[in-house]
Amino acid sequence: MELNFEKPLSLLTLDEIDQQEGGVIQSFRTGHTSPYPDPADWLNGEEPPPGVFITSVEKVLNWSRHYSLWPVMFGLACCAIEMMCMAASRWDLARFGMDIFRASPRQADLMIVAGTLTWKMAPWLKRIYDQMPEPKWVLAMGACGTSGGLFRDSYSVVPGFNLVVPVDVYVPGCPPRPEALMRAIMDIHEKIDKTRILKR
Amino acid sequence: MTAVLDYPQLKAALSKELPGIEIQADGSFLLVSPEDMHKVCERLTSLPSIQMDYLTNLTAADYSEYIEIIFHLNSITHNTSATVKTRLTDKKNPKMASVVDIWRGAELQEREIYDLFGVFFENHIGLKRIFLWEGFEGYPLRKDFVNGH
Repeated sequence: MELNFEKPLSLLTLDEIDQQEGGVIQSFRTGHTSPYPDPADWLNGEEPPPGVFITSVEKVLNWSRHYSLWPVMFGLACCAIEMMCMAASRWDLARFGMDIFRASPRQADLMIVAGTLTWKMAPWLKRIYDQMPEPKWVLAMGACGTSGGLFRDSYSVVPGFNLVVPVDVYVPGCPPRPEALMRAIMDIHEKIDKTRILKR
Repeated sequence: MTAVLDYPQLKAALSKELPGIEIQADGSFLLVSPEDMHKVCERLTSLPSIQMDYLTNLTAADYSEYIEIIFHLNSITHNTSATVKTRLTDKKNPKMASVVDIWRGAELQEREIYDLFGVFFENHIGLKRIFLWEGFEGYPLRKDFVNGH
C-alpha cells in the first residue's frame, strides 16, 4: 500500500494522516518477511580482461566509480557516530574520494545504513533506496544491520536490513570500529572493480 | 538536596483533606486506588504544604496480577519529592482518569503508557499511539504479549 494522494495533505486531519501512515507500515511489515538474496556473485568473478575496446571503457568507468563513491546519509543510531568518526580527520574518508555525505539520494551511489532500523522507518529506507540511481550499493553496518542484533526478537525492529533492501556488504560489531567500516568500503571498491557493463 | 517526603505524614495530611479515601503509606511510596487518583493528585498540587508542582516521570509496570502506574513527583517550591502509585487490577480493560489537566507534561507520557501497556486514560486530550504505528496489534510491554514475527 502506498500513500493516498487523492486529497491534498493539507486537507487531511492528523488522525487521517496517522491512519494512512499506519496502513503503509503495517502492509510493508507483512509484505517483507523473507530476505532479499545477497548480490554476492561478484566474489568469484574475474577482473575484466585487457585489450578489447569495451573492457577499456569498463575500466575507465569502474576507475571513476571506485574513486568517487558518494554515500547517502543514513545514520539511524549509535553506529552513525562511528560512521561520522570515519568521515572526520582521524580516519579521513576523503582519502577514498568519499568527501561528502550527500543529503539527497539522487546524488549518491552508496547507502551506509548505520544503526537500528525499526519497522516504522523501514518504508522510508526502501523509498530512499529506490530513489538512488543505478548502479548502487548498500552497506549494512553493525549487528542490527546484519541480524537485528540485540533487538532481534523485539516487536519493533527489523531483524536484518536484507528484509528490506539487498545488502552488498555486512559489517559485524556493536558498533563496528571505523577500521572495520573502512575494510567494508574497500570490499565495495573490489566489487566495483569487477563490475561489467553488459552484465550486472 | 531534594528531600523525600515522609509518607505516613503525607498520608495523614491527605486523609485530613479527603476523608473517606483509602490511602496506604509504605516506606517508599504512597498507594492510592485508581478511582481516587485524580482527587489525590489535585490535592498534592494544591495543598500549600505539599505543592507537588512538577511531574518528573509517569510510567507503568506490568506485574502479572495488576498494572501499576507510577508517578514520580517533585516540588520545586519545597525541594521535595514523592512517589505515588496506583494499581489497575482489571487487565482486560485497564483505565483511570487522566492527569493532563493537573500536569500538562503528562500528555505524552500517558500516550506512551497507552501505546505500550494499553491503559486507557479517561478525559485525555488525544489518546492514540505515539511510538508504534496505527494498526499495530497488542501492547508490547505487557507480560502476555507474544511477538508476531
